[in-house]
Amino acid sequence: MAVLKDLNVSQIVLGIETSCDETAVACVHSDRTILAQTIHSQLDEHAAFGGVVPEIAARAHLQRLRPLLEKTLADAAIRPEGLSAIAATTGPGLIGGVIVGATMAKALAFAWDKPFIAVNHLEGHALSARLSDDVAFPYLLLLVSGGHCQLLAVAGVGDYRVYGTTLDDALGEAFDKTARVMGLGYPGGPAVERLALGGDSTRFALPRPLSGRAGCDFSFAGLKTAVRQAVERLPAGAADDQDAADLCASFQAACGDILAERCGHAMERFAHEFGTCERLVVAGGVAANQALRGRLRDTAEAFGADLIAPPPALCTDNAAMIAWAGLERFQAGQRDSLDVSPRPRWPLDGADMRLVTPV
Amino acid sequence: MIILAFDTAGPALSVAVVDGRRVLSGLHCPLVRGHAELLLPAVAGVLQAAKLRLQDCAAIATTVGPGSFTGLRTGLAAAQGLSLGADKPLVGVSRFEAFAEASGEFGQAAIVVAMDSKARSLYVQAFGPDGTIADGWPAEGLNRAADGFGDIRWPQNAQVIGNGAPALLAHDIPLLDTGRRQLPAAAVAACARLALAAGHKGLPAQPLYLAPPRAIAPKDGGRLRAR
Repeated sequence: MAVLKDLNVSQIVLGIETSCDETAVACVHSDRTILAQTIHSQLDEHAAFGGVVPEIAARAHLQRLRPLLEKTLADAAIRPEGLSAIAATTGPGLIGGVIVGATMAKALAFAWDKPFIAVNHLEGHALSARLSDDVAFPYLLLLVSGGHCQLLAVAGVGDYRVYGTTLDDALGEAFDKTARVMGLGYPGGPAVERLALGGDSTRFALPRPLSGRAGCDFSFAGLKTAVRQAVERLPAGAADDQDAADLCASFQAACGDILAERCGHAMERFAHEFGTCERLVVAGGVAANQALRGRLRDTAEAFGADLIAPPPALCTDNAAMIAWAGLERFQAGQRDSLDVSPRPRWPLDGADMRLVTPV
Repeated sequence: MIILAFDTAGPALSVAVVDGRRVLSGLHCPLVRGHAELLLPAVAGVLQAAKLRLQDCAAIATTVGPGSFTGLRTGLAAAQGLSLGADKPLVGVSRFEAFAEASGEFGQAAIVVAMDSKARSLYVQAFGPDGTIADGWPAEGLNRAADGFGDIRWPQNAQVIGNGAPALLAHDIPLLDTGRRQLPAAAVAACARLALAAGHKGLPAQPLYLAPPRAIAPKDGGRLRAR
């Protein structure tokens, strides 16, 4: 890697993301420029269901991906010969979509005689702050999205130590379900955040699961249930906008408390293992929530650390982070063969990560 | 005209490179799972065995269904990627037509194609001796339990092909058994060649969906009412 950088060799990787409800394609340069990116969010397709329907997502990815590939390559004004590698999310995620993205990427890699890089979606999130902010290793990462919630030490490319993960629901899912029981539509995160601005966060006493316990794991199921029960306990016919705002504010405050406490534990552990904890990086769709970001910034600063959050477009699912993770793996000399399995589950720190064959 | 064709939507992986009616190289193996892993290596191997590059092919052909939901996604995603990467046309082929072609008597005798849907039903389509869909049959074929075909009007002296044939014949349907159960990719290529020769582009390279997604929208968006 160092040699390539010294020689100032530029590289461009094409990345594909199809693991949930965004179909996305991006071209990223090794100088950290996003040359082009296109994304189709399947919000309209899933809105009526209050959540992502796997079969609908699998259909949509196959319909959308090729046009997005054509547009991205045209926008980047790049010919296939100019690409160093083709990267695609190969898991974890909804398997119907992962198969579409990974298989199309393999076919392109074969047709263009370019290396294929199988990227773990979580690794895309984990390295996204290096694309946006050039963050040096090691750093502590809080990954919070609709499907994932974990704290991990990112020590290098392919070197991840999971400190804690959710025991039940992801935080983004708790936001979506909270919005759903209040009839705020899907996705719920932005709606809850907006309503919470005008709400009283002390009105509803909601639980902070695992509070006071050691470790870095999360739990949101109890909080989710408490929100549902709070809605059911409201007097019939009296549920008004202020009730919803107060409940959103109370829910978001509980989430902030939970994140702050667990991140505090993780920063202590990180400092113990790495000597110091200077950076807390937050990524994933929930990291777009400004109130939670503020809370995490206070938490980091109280510990003497900086909070680094990529811009919202790099926090939610996107292909630029997949192209970037592919580029980092490519520079580390890693290639994948065309018989790699798309996988619904793929822990970031397991022996499973050794799916990549060094060359 | 050299065509690269494959089918991943049934209980097999089938890949072939054909030139006109001649099969230059091919692979056909029973496979219930693992298409996403093995398809591209199989394509590479079949091309290599024929001493061809992808660029030597005039078109890519694959099946659009009916067939396995995941298998169709694998085949179509690969075909779209190869088509885009090599800048070659992509021809979508109905598995009903490809099976009928595989009988060797498509357009000469009446053919009934019966496929196991893997969901306790059969996908069935009937073709007349002229190769068009038989009288009274819907363009998308039928998807019914094996015992649900008693009231159907079958073409006279029809032969049945496909892995759903035994289940259909077990219900005393008046069809002659071809004994053929497999769909070879060469038949997919043959359908694509005929479509291209007739100046058609074939079917759109998207799955042939027989039903909308199985999902039920929650009442009122899932909103709870205060009690």
